[in-house]
Amino acid sequence: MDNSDKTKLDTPKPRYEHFLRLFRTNEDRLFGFILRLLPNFTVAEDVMQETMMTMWRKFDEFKEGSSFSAWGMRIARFKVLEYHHRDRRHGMVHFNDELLDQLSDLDKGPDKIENTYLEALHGCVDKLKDQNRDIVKFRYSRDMSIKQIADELSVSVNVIYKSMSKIHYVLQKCIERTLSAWELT
Amino acid sequence: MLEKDKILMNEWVCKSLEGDISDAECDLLQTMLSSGPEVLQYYSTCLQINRGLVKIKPILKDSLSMDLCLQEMATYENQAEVIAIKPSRPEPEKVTVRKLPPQSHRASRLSLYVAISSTAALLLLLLYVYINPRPISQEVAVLTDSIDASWANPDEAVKNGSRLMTGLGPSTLKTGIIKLRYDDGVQVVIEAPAEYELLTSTEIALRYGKVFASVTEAGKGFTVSTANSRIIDLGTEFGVFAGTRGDTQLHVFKGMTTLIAGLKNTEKELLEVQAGQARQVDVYNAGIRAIQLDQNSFARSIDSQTNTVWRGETTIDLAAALNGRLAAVGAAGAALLDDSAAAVNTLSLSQAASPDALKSPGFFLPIQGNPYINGVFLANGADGPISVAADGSAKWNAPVGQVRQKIGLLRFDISSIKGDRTGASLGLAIRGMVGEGRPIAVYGLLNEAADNWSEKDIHYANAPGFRPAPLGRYDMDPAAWKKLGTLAFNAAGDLMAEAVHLDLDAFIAADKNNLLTLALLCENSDTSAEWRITTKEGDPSQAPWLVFPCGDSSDVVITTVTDNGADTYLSNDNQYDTINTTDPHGRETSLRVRHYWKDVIAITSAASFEYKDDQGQSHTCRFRLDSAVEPLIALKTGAGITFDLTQMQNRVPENRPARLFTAQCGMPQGIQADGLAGNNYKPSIDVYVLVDGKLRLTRTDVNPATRSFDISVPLTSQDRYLTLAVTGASDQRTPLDWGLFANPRILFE
Repeated sequence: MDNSDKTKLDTPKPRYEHFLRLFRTNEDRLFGFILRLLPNFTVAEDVMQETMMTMWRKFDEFKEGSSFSAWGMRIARFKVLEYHHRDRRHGMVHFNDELLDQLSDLDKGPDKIENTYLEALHGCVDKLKDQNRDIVKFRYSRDMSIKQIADELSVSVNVIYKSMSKIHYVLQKCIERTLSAWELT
Repeated sequence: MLEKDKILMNEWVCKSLEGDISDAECDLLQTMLSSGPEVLQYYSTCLQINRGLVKIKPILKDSLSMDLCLQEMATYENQAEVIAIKPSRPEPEKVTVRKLPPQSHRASRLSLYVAISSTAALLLLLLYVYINPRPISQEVAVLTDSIDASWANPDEAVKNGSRLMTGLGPSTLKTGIIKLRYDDGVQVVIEAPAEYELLTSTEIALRYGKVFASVTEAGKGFTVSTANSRIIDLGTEFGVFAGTRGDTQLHVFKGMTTLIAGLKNTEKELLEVQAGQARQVDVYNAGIRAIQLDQNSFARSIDSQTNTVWRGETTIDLAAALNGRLAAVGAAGAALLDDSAAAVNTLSLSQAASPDALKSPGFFLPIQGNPYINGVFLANGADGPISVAADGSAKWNAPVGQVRQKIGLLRFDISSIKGDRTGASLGLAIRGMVGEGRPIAVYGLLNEAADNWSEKDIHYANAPGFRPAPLGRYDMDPAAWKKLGTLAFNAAGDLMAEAVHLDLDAFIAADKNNLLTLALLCENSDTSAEWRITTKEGDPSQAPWLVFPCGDSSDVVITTVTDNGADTYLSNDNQYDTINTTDPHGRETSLRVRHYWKDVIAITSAASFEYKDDQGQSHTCRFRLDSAVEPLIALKTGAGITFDLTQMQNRVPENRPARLFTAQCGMPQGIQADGLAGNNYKPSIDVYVLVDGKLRLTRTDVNPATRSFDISVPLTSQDRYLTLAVTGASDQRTPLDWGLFANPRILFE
C-alpha cells in the first residue's frame, strides 16, 4: 500500500467528495488494471464506469485505512468477469480464467503511469524518424482511428498496425534506455 | 522474448485496444501470454505505451508532413515485408508459391477465390464453404473404429458405428485414436489429445491435435482447417498437426494439397504441397517454412480387433517375426505388434519331429503358433529336392551337404564253442580316430536265416533288417534286430580297446546256427569323430573278438578271422560326394562307425551363443556384423527358415504387398577358430535366399574375413514364401559356422 491509498479525513466533507478524491487518486491504476484484463479501450472504459458506480454504491463497506486501490481492483475484477459472462464482443481478446488470474496477480508496477515515464516517452517520440513520428501524431494527436488513417492513406489497416507495432517497440526500447540513464544520474 | 514476438505482441495489443483483433490472433495472443511471466510483463509494457501515448496527446506537436507520410505508406505497401504475406524460404523447385497481390487486402477473399479457381475448378466448392456460414446440424460421417478413445465431455463420447453430425461445436478427444469415414468416403483418423469439430460434409476443424486424412476421388476437396491454415485436399493422403500454441504442420504422403496459410481476416499465402513434402505454418505470423516430412508420426489406420495402429511404416523387422512378433521398423512406440505367437529358436529336429517324419527326405518342420514363420528345415539336398514350405508347394534343389552313416557289421562263428557259452565279452581294436567318439550301440541280428551274409556283397540297401532311409540316417527293423547294449569308451585319440563287457548271454543262448551277427552303430547324430575299428583285413591279430570264459577251462577267443567270421561296414551316406549306399566295403582295413546328418537346426535372434573349444573351455560368439549391433537372424549352417509373406501382408493395414527383402549378410566378425574342431577347421558358409522355392540369391564361401554385404531381393504381390538358408561348410565340423542376416526387413508397398 502506498500513501495515496490511505484515507486522510482531516475535516468532515461530503462523502462523495471523499470518494471522488480517493477514486481520482487511484483511477489511473484501476484503469490500467481493467485494461490489462480487457485490452480494449472502449470496453475498458465501460467497465471502468461500472466499477466506479459499484464502488460508490458499496463505499460504506470500504474499510478506512485499507488500500482503496486493492478494494477497487477486487470490484473491478468482478466487473470484468461479469462482462465476460455477459458480453463477448468481437474484435477484442477474451482471456481465459487462468490468464485472468495471472494477469490480476501481475506486479502492479506498470498500471500507474508515472510522470517520468511520460517525459521519457515524449522525448522518445521526438527522436523517432520523421515518418514514424508522423504516424504517431496522426493517431494520437489528431485522434484518428487506425481505420481512418488507413482509409485516408489508401493503405490497408494491416499496414498501419504493422507500422504501429514496430513504432511501439522502438519507443519501449527508447524509454527503457532513457529511464535507466536518468536513474544513473 | 524474441524481437519479432515483441513486435507481434504490440500489434495484437494495438488491434485489441482498437477492437480489430481477429479470433485467431486472440488465440495466439493468449497462447503467447501463457508461455511465462516475462511475456505477461511485456504485455503490460505494451498497454503502458498505448496509454502513455494517449496521455501525452496534448503535448504532441501536430506538425505532420503529409507528403512524407504518404510516401512512407506507399513504401510500406510496395515492400510489403511487414504485411501478412511473408515470402517463404527458397524451396525445392517442385513447390509452387503464389502470393496474392498486396493490394488485394480489401477484397482478399475474392482475389483468393479467383487465384484458386484458376488453378483448380473444384476448389470453388471449397471456397464456397470457406465464405459461407456453417450449415445447420447434419449427419456427415460415421465413426468406424476407435482404440482407447475417451472424450473430455462424456456427452461427446460416441461408439463405433455412430453417425456424426456437424454443428455440435468442438469435441475434445482426451485419449485414444478414432477413425471416421465421411459419407463421400474420406477416411479421417484423429489422435488424442485433440480438439476437433466436424464443420461440414467436407471439412473438419482441428483446434489442436493430429489428424490424418485419406481422400478418395469422390472426396477431393476435403479440407482440414486450423487456427492459421486451411489444407485443401486434391485426392491424397496427408496429416495435419495443430499445436496448442497455434502452429500448424502439414505432411503430405500421397498426391497433392493446397495449403492456405494466414490468420483470420488477414491476407493469405497459397502454396501447393506435394507428396513427400511437409510445411509448418508459424504460430504468430502464419509464415510458411519447409520442414522434414515425418513418415511415421500420424496414425493412418487402426484396427481395434487386433489392437494395431499403423503409422505408415512400410518396413517389417523379420528378426522380430522370428519371435512371433510383426514389428514395424522406424516407429517409436512400435505398432503392429503381436506377441501372442510362438518363438522359433534353436530346434532339434529329432526332438521336435515325429520319428516317421524323420525317416522321410526333405525334412520340413512347420512352426506352430507363429503365423509369420511357415517352418524350418534341414538345408541339405542329399535326398533330392527338399520342401521349403509346409504345404509342399515350394521345393528346392539344395546343395548336397555331407552326411555320414556308417554301421559296423561283425559276424562271429562260434561253432567251435561246444560247452558253456555264457559270459562272453566283445573286444575291439580302435585303429584310429580324431576327436571324441560317441557311444556305440551293439545290436544282435535275430533273423538267423540272414546270418550268412557275404562281406563282399553286403551294403546298406541289401543288409538284413535295414530298411531304406534318407542319407545320413538309418532305419532298423525292430523284428530283425535286438539291442544288446552300449559300448562306452573313455579315451580319445588312438587307442587299443581291451575287451569291453557286454551282456551277450541271452542273445548267444538263442542262437541256433552258431553264427552271431552284430551291428555297431551310433544312435544319435553327432559331428564327433568316426570310430575306426581294425578288421581282419587290417590286422588279423587285432580283428574284433569275442572271449568266452568257458567255465573252468581257459578262455576261448573267437575273432572275425575264425571260421565263417566277417567284418565290414554299411554306408548310407554321400562321403566323397558319391552316393554309396550300395557300395560294399568288404576289403576295408578298418570298419567304420559314425552317424552324422546334423539333426539340430539352430536359428535364433539372440545376440550371442556359447560354445566350447577342443579343450572344453567356454567361449561366447557375438552375433554381429562389423561393429553395428542390429536386430538379426542367425542361422547355423544347415538351417533353413521360411517366412510367410502373405500372413505378414494380412497384418499390414490396407493389405499392402511386400516389395523388397533387404538384409546385411555375413559371418560373425572377430571370431577365433583356432583350437576348435582340429587344426584345419576354417569357418565358411554359403548363403541362399529363395522365393517360393526359387533361388534368388546365392553367395558362396562367406567367411569371417568376408566383408558383410547387402542383400536386396525384389518381391511381387504373387510371392508367398521367403526362404533363407545357410549351408556349404566344406567340413562337417561347424562349431562357428553361423550365417547372419542383420536388419532383415521386408518393405511393403
